[in-house]
Amino acid sequence: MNDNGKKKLITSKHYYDFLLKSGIKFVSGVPCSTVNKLLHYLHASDEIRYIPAPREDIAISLSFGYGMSTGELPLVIMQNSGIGTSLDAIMTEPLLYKVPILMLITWRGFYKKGLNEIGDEPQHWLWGDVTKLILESIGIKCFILDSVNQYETTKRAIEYSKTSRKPSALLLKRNESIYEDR
Amino acid sequence: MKTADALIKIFRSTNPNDLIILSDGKISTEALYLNESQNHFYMLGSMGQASMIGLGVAIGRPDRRCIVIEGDGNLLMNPASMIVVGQCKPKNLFHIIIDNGVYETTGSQETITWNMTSIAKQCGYNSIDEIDLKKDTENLNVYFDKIGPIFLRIKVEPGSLPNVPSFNKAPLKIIEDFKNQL
Repeated sequence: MNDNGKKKLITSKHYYDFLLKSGIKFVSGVPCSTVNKLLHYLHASDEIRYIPAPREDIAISLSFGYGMSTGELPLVIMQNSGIGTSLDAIMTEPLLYKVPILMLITWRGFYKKGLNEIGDEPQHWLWGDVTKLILESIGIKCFILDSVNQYETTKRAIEYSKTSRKPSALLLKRNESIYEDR
Repeated sequence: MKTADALIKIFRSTNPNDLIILSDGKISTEALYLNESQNHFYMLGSMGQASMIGLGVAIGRPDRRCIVIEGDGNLLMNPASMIVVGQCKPKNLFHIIIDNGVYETTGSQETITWNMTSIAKQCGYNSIDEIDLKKDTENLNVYFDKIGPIFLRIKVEPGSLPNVPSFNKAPLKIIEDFKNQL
């Protein structure tokens, strides 16, 4: 725990180890550069099964099937644009049947290049504006993953999903990445 | 020979130890009417995702056979699912397509005709078969004895059972029953 509220970046390997320690054994997703290194660790892992998905709705469905047959909490990784691709799967699988899924969603377009000093290109802007709104409008609780309390925030999301039997979303802003080695 | 005949034939060759995923629409509705069972997971939406949910289940429970039943219209919506199955190669996954050439659930509009079997070959299923329920009267045990992933296309005529009540099993009851028999 970082008690002085200061930024504390971790390596992707630290976060990978943390996920493993938290009992995550199954991950599926579509890559985003924000979590590049983390995905490489998952790919190479013998302890966590990672299935690269061609589309985000496939990642949701694989995780849903795994979760409902094991009782474990699976993880889906995607960029926020993938919410659009996977919305129907999210609504008529984990939300409809109450099967918990943890989602790590990169929040592209929160900062906008040209408008902010740092930020993403215009294709991300609209998604940046509606990411949290869309998720909350369908009843998905959002947890902002920052570089101060990354472990505690993740723990809270896991706990929330397990007790509520609902999906939860960890939102990771690209320019506030928690990974020093992104 | 219609969808219901194919379902009856499949259910004759399966047992309560199998985990069966039924796609949304008429397939779930008729399966519920013909043979409600705790080990049958009835999808109520998420068209195109049946085999991906099934793959997640097959990975979660490698000790049990997982049988996915969907229509040609469902598969047409998500042909990428075949690529993911071929990559993961689960020995316990049986992917069955009931092909009647129409969207039965929405009023028998024609689907696009395509050579799904030849694509399944490219994708890396362990065994690919095609039967016409009108001509082939053998039972299906021979296909369920194979090592997966299996792709089986069953050709039938359009048409559904008369006087079947609309789907009437609640989502939370479906998942509760399915979990209880795991």
